[in-house]
Amino acid sequence: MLLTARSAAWFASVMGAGFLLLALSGIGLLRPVEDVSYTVLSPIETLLRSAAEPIADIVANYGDVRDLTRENEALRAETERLNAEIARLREEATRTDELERLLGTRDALANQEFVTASVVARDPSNLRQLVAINAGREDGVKVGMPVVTEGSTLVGTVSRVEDDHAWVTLVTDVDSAVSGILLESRAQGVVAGGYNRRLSMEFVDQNAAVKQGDTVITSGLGGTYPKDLVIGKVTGVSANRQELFRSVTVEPLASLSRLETVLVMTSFVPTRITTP
Amino acid sequence: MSYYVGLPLLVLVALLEASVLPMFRVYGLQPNLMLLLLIAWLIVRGAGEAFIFAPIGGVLLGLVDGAPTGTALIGLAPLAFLQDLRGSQLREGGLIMAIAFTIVMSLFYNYVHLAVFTLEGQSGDWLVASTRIIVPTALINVFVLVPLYGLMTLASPAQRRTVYA
Repeated sequence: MLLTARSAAWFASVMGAGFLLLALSGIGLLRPVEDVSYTVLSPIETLLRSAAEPIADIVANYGDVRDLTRENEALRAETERLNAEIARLREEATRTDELERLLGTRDALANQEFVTASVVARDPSNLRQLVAINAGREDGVKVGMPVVTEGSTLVGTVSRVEDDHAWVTLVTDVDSAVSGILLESRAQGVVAGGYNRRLSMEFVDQNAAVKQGDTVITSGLGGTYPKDLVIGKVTGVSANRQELFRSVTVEPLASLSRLETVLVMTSFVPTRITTP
Repeated sequence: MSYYVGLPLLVLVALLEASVLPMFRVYGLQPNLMLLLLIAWLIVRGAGEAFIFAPIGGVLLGLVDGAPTGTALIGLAPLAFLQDLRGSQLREGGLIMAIAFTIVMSLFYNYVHLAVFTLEGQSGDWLVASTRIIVPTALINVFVLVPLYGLMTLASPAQRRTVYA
C-alpha cells in the first residue's frame, strides 16, 4: 500500500484545507486575516532585511571584485569620452532649454502626484517578481498605478491592493509588458519580462538603428504607463536579418533586487482603450 | 519541548524566506527553506511533530508570500508519502532518501505554484519555467538540504544516539 491510513488521512486533510484556503482567498474572505498578518509581520520582515543588508552587501561585492576591476578600466576610458560629451551636451542643453520654454513643453512628470512607499517584502516564489510595499488602499493606491524609483525609472505596476499594503509586479516579471521606445532611434517595441530576470524588447523593426547602450523609455502607447519613464539600457541586439523583428535585450536601470523606497504615481489613471 | 522550538522556528523561516533570502539569490533563485526544514524535520524527528508543523508552515508561508493563501499548503501535502517511506528505510540511508524526496517535493511544490499562477492569469511558458526556474530550484534545494539535515541530526537526541552508538 502506498500510504498508511494515517498518512492518507493527513494528506487528504492538508490538500482539502489547502484548496479551501485557496477558494476563500480567491473570493477575498481571507483579506482580514491577511491584513492582520501583514500588520504584525511586516515590521519584523523590515527589521530582518535591515539586519541582513550589510551581509548581503559583502556577499554581492565579494562576487563582483573581478567584474569591478574590468569595469573600472572600461569606466576610465568611458569617463574621458563622456567628459568631452558633457561639454557638447551642456551647449546643447542650453539651447534645448530655450526651445522648451519657447514651445511651452512641460516635463511629463511635473503634474504627477506620488505616494512614497518602502519595500517590505518580496514574493519568495522564484516564478514571480513581486514586491510588497507599505502603501495601500488607504493611501490612494490602486491596481494599475505605475511604480517608479529615483530618476523616473520604471519599477513596475501595482497588481494587488490591500488596505495598508500593496503588491507590485516588477517589469522583469513574466507577466509584464510595457510599450517602449528607444530614445536615440525612436524605434518602438514592447519591453517584456521573462523567467531569466531580464527584459527583452520585442517587435522592434528590423531596419531600426539599435545599438548597445541605447536608452529605452516608455512610449505611453496603450495608456497603461505615462510617457518618458526610463526603463533600461540596451545590452544586446540580434543581427539575424532573416527574422521579421530585431531581438533586443534590455537591462533594467532600476536596481530591482535591492529596491528599498519607491514612488507610486497615484495621479496616473491607466486608460482602457477600446477598439473603434 | 520541541514545539517551543519548532513553532517559533517556523515563523522565523517564513519571515526569512520572504525578507532575507531574496537578498541572497543565486542566479535569481532562492531555496524553498520551509519545505527543506519540514523534510529534514520529518526524516530526523518523525511525523508526530512534522505533521503538525507542516500545515502551520504552509499557512504561515501563505500569509507572507504573494501567492494566494493555501498554495504553499497544497504544495506541502505530499510530505505524507515521506512519512511512510521513512518508516521502512530510515536506518538504511536517511540522507539519500531526503535528497531524492527533496527533488520530487521541490518539483511538486513549484509546479503547484506555477499552476495557481497560471489559473490567476500568469502567461509564462511552462517549459521555460521548468528549465530556468523549477529544475534549478530543486538542485539549489538539495545543496541547502544537506547542511540543514546535518544540523537537524545534531539537534535530535535520538539521532545522536543512533549515530554514536
